Amino acid sequence: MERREMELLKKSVQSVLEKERIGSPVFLRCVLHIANAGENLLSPVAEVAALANEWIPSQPTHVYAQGDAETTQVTIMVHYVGGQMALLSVNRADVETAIDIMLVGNKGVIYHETPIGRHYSNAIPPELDGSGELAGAIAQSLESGQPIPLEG
Amino acid sequence: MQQNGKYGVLLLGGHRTHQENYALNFAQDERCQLVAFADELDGPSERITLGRSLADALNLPFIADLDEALAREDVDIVSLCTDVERRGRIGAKCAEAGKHVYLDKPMALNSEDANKIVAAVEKNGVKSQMFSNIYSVWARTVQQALTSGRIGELQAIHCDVLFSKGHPGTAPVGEKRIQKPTLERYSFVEAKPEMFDVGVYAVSMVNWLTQKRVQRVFGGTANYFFEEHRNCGLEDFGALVLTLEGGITATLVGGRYGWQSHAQGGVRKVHLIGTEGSLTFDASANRLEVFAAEPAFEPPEPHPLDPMGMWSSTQAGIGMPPKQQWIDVGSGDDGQREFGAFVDCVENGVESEMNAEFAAHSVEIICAGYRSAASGEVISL
Repeated sequence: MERREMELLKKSVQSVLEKERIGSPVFLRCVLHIANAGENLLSPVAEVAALANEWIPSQPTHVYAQGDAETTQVTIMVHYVGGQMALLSVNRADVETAIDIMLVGNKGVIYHETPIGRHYSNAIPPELDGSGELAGAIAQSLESGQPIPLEG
Repeated sequence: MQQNGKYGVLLLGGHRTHQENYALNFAQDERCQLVAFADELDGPSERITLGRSLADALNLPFIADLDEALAREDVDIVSLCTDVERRGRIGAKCAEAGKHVYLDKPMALNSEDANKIVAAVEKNGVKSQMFSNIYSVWARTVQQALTSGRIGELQAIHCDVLFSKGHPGTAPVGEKRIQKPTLERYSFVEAKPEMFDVGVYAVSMVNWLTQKRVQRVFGGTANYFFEEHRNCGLEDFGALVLTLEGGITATLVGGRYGWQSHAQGGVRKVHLIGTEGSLTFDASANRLEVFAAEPAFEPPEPHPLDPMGMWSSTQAGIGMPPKQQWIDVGSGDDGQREFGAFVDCVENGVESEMNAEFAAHSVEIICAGYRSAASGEVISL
């Protein structure tokens, strides 16, 4: 069900993008809090990177990562060929999985936060689909502390 | 000090600067009295004209020679809103004259200029403060949560500050910006470098909340929205990844993204990630949402002298409609809190939490961000 929730979110975002309501996506800010994360945060970070690569209409050129995949958080910055950027952060959470997204287009913005509060008690937190991208480069950047160029 | 026991405030900068707002904030503080406007004798003629016009509007004298104004014993505080390029020199001169200095943001064009102010303030024992958001109710709420220990040890902080002004969609799509490593000019009629101008709020907020020095900077700038910025060679958007003392990660977003991109003035958000939990703070969260049978917000026609909607006077001149769907609850006097905090420091002889020395680190970080965006490399401070 959680994966279905994520699919619904992606479908909703896609419907806005297809109508070009926000123009062309230029920047994604995503903060993902994951409950019961596994031993390593690399996989969920790579999955959020895949989300960014899906929404941003360009190829990634560099990725820069900070944090520790085996402790609390990993944050990455992705640069794209056309100048677009993404700032993506994945954190371990004790209570519940939640996502905060700001997808900026050149003519508008999509904001989304996992609903909380009594009116949304039936909300299902998102879960990514397990298909990550850039995992090797992210791990390399975490190790070296340097931005890693990506092959086109 | 004035004969009535109030602090005399000298105002630098005029119409189409933040002095339009700052002068009113100082005037509202019962401990202060506005004395006059002034500028350098050889200041840019347009700036002098704009200074004279705001002085006239506020029924205050304009002193043509800054040195003469600074020699007056009834001037205790200088509110400095000149063009950014002149702030280092003038700020240092005001401190050297023994005046307390209130600095518009950013305090200077580069670290060299910022350090001139820092040195003069320290040497002369005067108080200083740069405009920021740290005295807002919102910022204090974040600070209280952080210092309460609720999230354990801070591991990461993410701060977004964006201004929803300007008419977007005019910059070419998919064109990678070529960033220069240093900023040579800041002030244009139609644009400002937004990673600096807006991003300074996010940088100074992170510095203040964490009280940690930044050690490494990686970033990028862009021309996503406005042809005005692109034509001036300035970015309209920037993002930074910082490494703080103790290995804490910080990320920042600063920029201007269009009138209709937010229900209020733009997103202002902080995420705190700790070893024991995480918290998110949205400055607009404590709000009323009003839906009514009234016209929706329509962006104004661009003012020829202020197409990005920077100044109160120009926006009033074109009948700028207010955004009324979201109404803040409880943050209406943030401006008075900011200026009152500075007068408190002057009155009590204590340092501001955003004094020149502290604020200079924000300038250093953003300038490093430009160098990183130009080179694609991580910059060590």
